[in-house]
Amino acid sequence: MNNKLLLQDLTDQLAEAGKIKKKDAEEFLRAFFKVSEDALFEDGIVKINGLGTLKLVLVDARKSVNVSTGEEFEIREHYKVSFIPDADLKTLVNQPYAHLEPVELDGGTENNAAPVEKKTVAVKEKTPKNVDGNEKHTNPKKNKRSTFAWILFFLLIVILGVWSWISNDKKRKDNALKTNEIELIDSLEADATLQQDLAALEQESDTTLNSTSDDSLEAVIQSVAQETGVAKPTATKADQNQVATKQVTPVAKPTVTPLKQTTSEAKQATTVAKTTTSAVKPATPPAKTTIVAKTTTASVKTTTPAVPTEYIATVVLKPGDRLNLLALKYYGDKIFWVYIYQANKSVIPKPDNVPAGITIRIPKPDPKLIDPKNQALVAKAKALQLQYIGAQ
Amino acid sequence: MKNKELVQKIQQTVPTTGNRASELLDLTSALIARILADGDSLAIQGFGTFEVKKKEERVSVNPSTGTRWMIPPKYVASFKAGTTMKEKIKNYTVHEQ
Repeated sequence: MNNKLLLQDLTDQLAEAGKIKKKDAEEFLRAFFKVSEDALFEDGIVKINGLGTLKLVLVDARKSVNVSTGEEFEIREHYKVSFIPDADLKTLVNQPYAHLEPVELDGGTENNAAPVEKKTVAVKEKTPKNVDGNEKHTNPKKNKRSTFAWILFFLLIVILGVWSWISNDKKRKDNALKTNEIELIDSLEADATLQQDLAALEQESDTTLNSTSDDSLEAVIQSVAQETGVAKPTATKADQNQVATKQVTPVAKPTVTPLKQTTSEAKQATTVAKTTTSAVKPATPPAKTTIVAKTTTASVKTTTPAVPTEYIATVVLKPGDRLNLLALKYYGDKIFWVYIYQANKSVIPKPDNVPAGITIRIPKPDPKLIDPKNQALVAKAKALQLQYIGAQ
Repeated sequence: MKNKELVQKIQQTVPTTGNRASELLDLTSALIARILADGDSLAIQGFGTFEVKKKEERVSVNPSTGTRWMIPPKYVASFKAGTTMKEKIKNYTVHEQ
């Protein structure tokens, strides 16, 4: 880096690389530069393959100012040597900065992030909608009578259960509590609409039963209402029976506190259940929003199978790598990047902006498709390029 | 002058390596290119200096759309004529006039 080499160094290198005597190498180089210079002055231009073009260009006359005296004077028109490096030399010299590309400054990077943001927004919007829909769905009037009858039936069973359970020992109570919990949680995962119906009915039953003078009964009913109102357990009606009996029996006994614990636990369970359902629901609904539909179609598009071929290399993309540069490296022409893209469609979302870090495979060049000298194949690749870039 | 003519001229000038002039010329170009790619400069007495210049990054404005673009820095190969060559260019200018 930053070494100043002289003709001597070049001579040594040439002698080594060309396997000739140093004397010959020096002679050759001197002749080379001499001839180049002569040609430059003779023709005004000299082209050296692999290096570039030296050219004498005319600089127009211009006015300038003498810095020390402030006097104006004219610089006469003159020639100067301009050097235009070959494309190969250009890319070779600029290798350290080859990965950099012009960046648009005024918010040009929004395009990439936009689809992802839209998706999350869609999910966020959806979840509250679902919850609202469930809560609004309460029209218990139709089922009032039948369910009221059911509630009375429960009460009967409850009372019977109370009596039978009084005679049982405490161990059995504990067991019942545990199973009760499990069944509660199980029932929580059932349909949401049924939940609301039941809750509303229980409220009704509360009011009607308040008129009855039986204190113990009322307490039992309230506890049932509490339990079911909070936890909203639903399932088949037979299940409800079981739940109700098992829930209420401990209430009649002095052990009320454990029941409260279970209710609080049931609350937690409901919240968990709610969150899980709300978490699951946005993922499952049949593509209602256009965004979801779009993403699915996009994924379908990108996963079209590539033609299975042999691969000559695998490349882990660095930031700034481009498909056309890879094509230039492996196939000899930038235009054949389309075939690299074809072989790696599954990992490349956008061909004109490949993400860094992904691994792509370079397919073995098919002479029927890839030949930089065949104009027909180049035209074909160009058509493909138009198709891929145009589709974006 | 094209590369072909250059090769012919060199062949005429140096008979010893003349038959390999084309090959050696390509080799020389490649060597100079590698020297420049390494970031070194090559000064040839009586001819000039091949060196690498760094162009700093800059902000460019698309005149038609008004969008601003950050153009990244880059390395550019350049050639500077030596003193003797400059003198010759001066004479060349005079000669032309």
